[in-house]
Amino acid sequence: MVTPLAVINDWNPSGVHHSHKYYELEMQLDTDWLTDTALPGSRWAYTQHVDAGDSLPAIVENGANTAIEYFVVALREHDGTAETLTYADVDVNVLWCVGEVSEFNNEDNTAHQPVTFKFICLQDVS
Amino acid sequence: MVAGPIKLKNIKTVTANTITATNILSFKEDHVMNIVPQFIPNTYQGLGVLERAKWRVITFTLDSDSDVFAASWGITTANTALGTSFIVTFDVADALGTVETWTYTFTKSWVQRKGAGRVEDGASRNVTEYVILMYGQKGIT
Repeated sequence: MVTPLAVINDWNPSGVHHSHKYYELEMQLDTDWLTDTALPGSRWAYTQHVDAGDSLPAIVENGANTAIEYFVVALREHDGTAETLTYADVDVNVLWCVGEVSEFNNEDNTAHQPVTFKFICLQDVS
Repeated sequence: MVAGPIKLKNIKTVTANTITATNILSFKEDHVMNIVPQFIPNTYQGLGVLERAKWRVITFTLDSDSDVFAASWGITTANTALGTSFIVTFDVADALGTVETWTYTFTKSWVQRKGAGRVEDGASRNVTEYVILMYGQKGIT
């Protein structure tokens, strides 16, 4: 976060204050069901343990959310080179799920359950 | 039911206060978590987060007004809480006619906003939207 420094009686800020930075991440899935189960209640953010030490999921309905140990995102660059982005290290309490949005529409004639998870990561990606 | 990442085909019904609506156009659940990053002043590394509140904003769009939430909406009086639960049923995209049920349970929930009057010329419908605030839990079966 970089915020302008206000100057009293002067409408031009004289600079910025560099206080902190963090990542805001979004991940959209076409269904919330886990791939290895037939149970509709088995959903990633609610049933997968994202922190081995605490054995808790990313979203806790009746309590504080658990920190996610890390994300590893595998992707390709424009020339086909494989790249791996790692958000957070193991169990340092810097990566958290901060929201979930599910959307359905009876008029688009597509069978999907788009669910979007939002995260914050307080540490630089490696 | 087959294993695997089953997809939902459409929204079948919404039931609240023992009234069921079937004319659903769209449904959206926003599970809002007010989680604030915490930092050491003037340093880059985060300390953790402060979790303040967690609630859901649920939006139903109907092709015409329905009685399903009518009892909880007052113009000249305060809104009445939405009982203790409401249920959203989806059709699963399979050949068996399977349904998936989302049951929201709560002690307090209210209609926050109602939008109506979007009468579409030639479409024979009066699109009506209900936005509901909910503090509670969701069970999926």
